[in-house]
Parts: sequence; structure tokens; C-alpha cells
Amino acid sequence: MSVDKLPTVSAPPPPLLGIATADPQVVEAADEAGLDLAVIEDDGELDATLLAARLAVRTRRIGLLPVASTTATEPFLVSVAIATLDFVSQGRAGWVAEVAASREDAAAHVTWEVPADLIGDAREHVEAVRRLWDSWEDGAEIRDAATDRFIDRERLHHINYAGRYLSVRGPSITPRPPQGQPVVAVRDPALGAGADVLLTRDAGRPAPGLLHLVEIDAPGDTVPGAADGLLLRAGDPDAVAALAALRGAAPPPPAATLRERLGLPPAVNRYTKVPAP
Amino acid sequence: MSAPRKQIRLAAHFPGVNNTTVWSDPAAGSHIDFGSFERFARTAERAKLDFFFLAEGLSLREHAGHLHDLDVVGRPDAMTLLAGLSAVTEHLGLAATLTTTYHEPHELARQLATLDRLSGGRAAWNLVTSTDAVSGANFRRGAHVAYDDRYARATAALTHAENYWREHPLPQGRPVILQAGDSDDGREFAARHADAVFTRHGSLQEGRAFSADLKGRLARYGRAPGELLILPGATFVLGDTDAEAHERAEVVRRQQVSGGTAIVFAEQLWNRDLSSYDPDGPLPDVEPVEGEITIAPGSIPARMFSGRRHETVAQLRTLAEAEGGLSLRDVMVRTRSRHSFVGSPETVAAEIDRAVQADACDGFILVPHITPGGLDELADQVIPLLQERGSFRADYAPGATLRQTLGLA
Repeated sequence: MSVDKLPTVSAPPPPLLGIATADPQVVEAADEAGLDLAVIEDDGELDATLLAARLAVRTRRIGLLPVASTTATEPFLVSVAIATLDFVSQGRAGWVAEVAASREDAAAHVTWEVPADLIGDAREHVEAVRRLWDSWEDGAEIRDAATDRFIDRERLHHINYAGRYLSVRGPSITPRPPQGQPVVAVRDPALGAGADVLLTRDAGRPAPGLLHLVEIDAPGDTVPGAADGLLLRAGDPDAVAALAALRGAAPPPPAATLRERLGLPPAVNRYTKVPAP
Repeated sequence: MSAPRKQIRLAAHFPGVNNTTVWSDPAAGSHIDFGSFERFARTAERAKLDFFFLAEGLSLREHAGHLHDLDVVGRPDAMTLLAGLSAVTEHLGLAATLTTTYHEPHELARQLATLDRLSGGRAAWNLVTSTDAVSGANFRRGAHVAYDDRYARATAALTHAENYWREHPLPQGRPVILQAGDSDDGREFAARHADAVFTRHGSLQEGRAFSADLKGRLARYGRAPGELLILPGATFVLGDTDAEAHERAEVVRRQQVSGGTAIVFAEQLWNRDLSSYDPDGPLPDVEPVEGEITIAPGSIPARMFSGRRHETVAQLRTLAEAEGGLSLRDVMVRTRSRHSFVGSPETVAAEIDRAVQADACDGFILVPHITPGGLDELADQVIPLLQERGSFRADYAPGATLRQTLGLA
């Protein structure tokens, strides 16, 4: 087959469109408008994960990524909270893993010794959260009346994570969530290795292996060609409508989970033994 | 004109991760899908109950060195789940059990404030302390705090929360505080701080003694008896007639104590490996082992038998023999499974009302054994009878907070 017989490369799919807000009405408008995802910001008042859970019931399609600190939280509790959000939203959950602005800020709110290396602590936190999501294999709940067993305990795993700054034994108290691995987003490229999505204000920053959403302040802000999508810091439902208009008339594809909507591959469970061929 | 009847307070406990919850029944559904929780909460609200209740466990149960696999395993994060339920309910209180041993005071205060806002003043906190070291291994600080310090930490956490709630005013002012500790420290903490106590003292006689003890402690904190509600946990089995209910209860008890569960119960008592015994055979012919708890560390029943294992085993042997040679499982069904209320709807309504009117308690936290439909019969058959008696609300007051619904505000 000669080169000129190759099929034409189709136009790139419309970029991913999201908003970042702490306003529930804006999130509901964004869901109506067909945007792909909403980052639920921490406004200093409401707990963003709890707000996301309420919105999970009040929305139908949009992905919900609450901001939760790595520095001031227990990985075990973040893991079960985001897994629960994934159950409540039927596979639309994510998490923006955010490092505290300073050690002092975080230390004022927790009773453990906050390490000086906030990035190192955050890397370990994200790793422990992800392992806990895998600590139950799919199908671990067997309800086998013949042997009186509710679970197959061979398919649950102590993660025995021991880092420099924190350790977690596991398994999780919450079964593996619908997406297997909810979507992890970060704003600090230093945490990119553990994440699926990078959110930055800098359009030019390369993000190998990560989806890259550029944060903008107005729907008309320049669309950077290299980015995978836009994240609007939205003030109101009008701005949401203007952002949705960038997609043109095409309706968003119906997607079952946030991972699918973002084009991420199905999550592989690190603890599942591959059967012998 | 006669005095108005004392009003019954009723809550619904979502079925938990012990053998009370029957997962082997064909009617048993998911313990993790949001739909199960939504259905259960909607039934509770249809029945005009006071609140929906979730327990907590921050590690999976272990027995004989393995994850315990015979009961329901796995649960959602309580606060995240309740925030979701705030969107499908309007009046029902939303109560989470949260231990001050492993949750951080600041996050607790903020999450409870968030739930109170999202629900329009329907948040409740069952404040507990933890004693198990297994959960500690899941947390940054590692091993759990010392047993004797647990109420000091609880008090510090509550004080922090109350300060936070004053600075960030909530619809309820303060979420409803429940407390479940039964030690002297626990009772004193409840008398000083709690709005309601979740207790296991459910019988008329025990309940009156417990209630009198607890309410007697209130005066020293300047509180009136009506400011602390006593709410025992209560299971129930209904039938068209009392006889039918008792037949059904017998079936449920055997579902709750499977052969495997009977062995686990025996191991908690004997404090040794009995896995080679047949649950349908006679009681194990070996003697129990006193001293360090080896087979079920962290198990409350295993600890409760300490010091009286030989005496208890002897009693069980006498029972088995007197009843014509009961099997191990039969004995465990008889001694380790009972239901608080068994009878026709008329009988159960009368017993619930009698306990409350006799001041054995102020109401009950109802614990169905089937998820998510275990509340349906009670909602349809018992609640209308309590309403006819004038002992239970016909409807919620519009816009009431949980504190108002419970008559605490």
C-alpha cells in the first residue's frame, strides 16, 4: 500500500473541557452543558470530597475530582473517601492530590509530625492510596453459602506499604471501586509520576505520560495546541456555557466512567495474579 | 386531660459487618452500592424515623491470624456516603460513627460542619474511642493511643470541634452528639457531652437501671434528664402472628450462626483452635485455655469470657446434655443469637411503646438483619401502630433540624 493510499488522519477529538470551582450550581450547570470534568476546589469552608459526593447524586455524566491535601490527611481515609465517591457516582470519581503551601500550614491542623519534605510525603501518600484501591481484587466478594464464606480472603491483600514518611498495612475497608483506580490529578509536576492528569497554568510545560489540562481564567483564553484540554476557573454558569460552546454542536460521547471519558486505559490491579497460560 | 404520651425516638442502623447481618438470604443485596443505602434511607424517611446510622471499622476484622471471611466484609466511608444521602433525603438525620482515636480533630470538625451544611442541619456524630491496635497500622501515628488516654483525646477532639463550630456557625449550632461507651469513663463523658447514648442495655430491667444511672449523672453538669436520650440497639423479627414470628426468628438465628460462625464463636470462648471440630457434632471435648488471647486478639467476645472460660464451657455442656445432646452449632444458636423484639406487629409495637413509657429508654436504634429491605416490614406494619398509639410522629415538622426532630432544641 502506497503512502498516498493511507486513510486521512481524522481531525483530533475536541479537547477535554473542565471547570474548577467550589460552587455547586456551577458544577450542576457544567454537567448539563456536557463538560467532561469538574475539579471541586477546597474553599476553606466545605470539605470538597463531601461536596463532591452530594454532587455525584445530583449530576449524571460529569467527572468529579475533589481537592484533598496529601500533607494534612491520612492516606487510608482519602483512599476510602475517594473509593466511596466512585461508588456514589458510579465510576466518575477522581482526586486532585494537593500539597500544602507550607509545612506550618499543615502542622497547625494535624497531630502527627509533618515532615519537611512535603513532596516526598505526597508521593508516598498517593502511592499508598493507589495500593489500597487495589487491595481488594475484583470478585473478592464471593457469597459462597456452601462454605459459609462472604469473601475469598486470598483475593484481599495487606499492602504493607512502608515509606520513609508513612506506612499503611491495609487492606482497605472499602472494596475496589468501580473504576479500579479513580483518576488522580496533580498541580505539581513533581508528583506527575503517580498521577493520570496534570493541571497547570503553563501551556508549554511538557507532561510525558500524563493528560495535560491547562488552567484558564476565561473561556476565550488562548487554546494551546499541545494541551489535552482546558480547565476553566469558572465563576458562573454563563462562563460554563461559553466553554461548552468550544466543542461546537457535537454532543459529548456517552461514557460510563471518568477513565473512559478521558481515554485512560482500564486500570490493572497490581495484586491480581495472572493465571498461568 | 391526660398528659401527652412520651414520644418514641427511632433510628435505623444500616446492617453492619457482624453475624447479625444475614448475607446468605436470597433477599440480601449489596452492602456497598449506593442504591442499597439510598433504598434503606428512603424507607427510614418514609417511616418518619429520626435518623439513619452508620457504624465504623477502620480495619477488616481478623480471626486466627486471617481476615475474617464469614460475615459481611467491606463498607464505604461514612461521611462521604452520608453526604451523598443528603441529596436523596429531606428530613432524616444522618449519623456517622467516627473514632477520635484515628480521625484528626480538625478534619472531624470540618467534615461534620460540611455535612450539617449540605443536609440543612441533619448531621449527627457517634463519638467513639478505639482500642484495637490492628487499625493503628493503617494510620500515620501507628499504634493506637493508650487505653487510659482515649477519653482525654476524645474530649480534646470535641472541644476543638465545638470551637470550630462556633467560628463557622452551623444550621444546628452543634451536630447531635451520640456516644456509645459503657465504661464508667464513657458514661461520665456521655453525661457531660452527649445528646444521646447508643447502648446495648435493651431489656426493661437492665434498661431502667442504665437509664437511671446515666440520667442521675446529668445534674452535676447542670443538665436536665430530657437532655440526654437513651437509645438501645434493637433487632426484630416480625410475623403475621406471634407464633409465625417466633418460627421466622428461629430460621434467622440459624442463618446468623452458620457452621463456620459457630466454630468461631467456640474459639472465642475456648481461646484455642477448634477448626477440626464438626459444628454439627458435639461440643469440643477439650478444655478451654485461660490467659493471653491468642486466637481472636481484639475480639470483644473473646475478652468478655476471660476468667470464666471453664465455668462457661461447663454451663454449655450441661445445656447440651439437658436438651438431649445439642450440637455445637445448636448450642451457639441458643446462646449467642437473640432478637430484641419477636412477634406480630401489634406485639412489637406494644413492647417498644412499653419500654419507652416505662422509662427504660427513650427509643431504639433498630438493627435489621437484611440489606437493604430489612426495614420495610417495620415501616409498613409497626410504625402505623405506634402512630395510632400517639407515641410516634405522624410526620416531620417542616424544615426541622435533627436536633429539633429529636426534641433536643
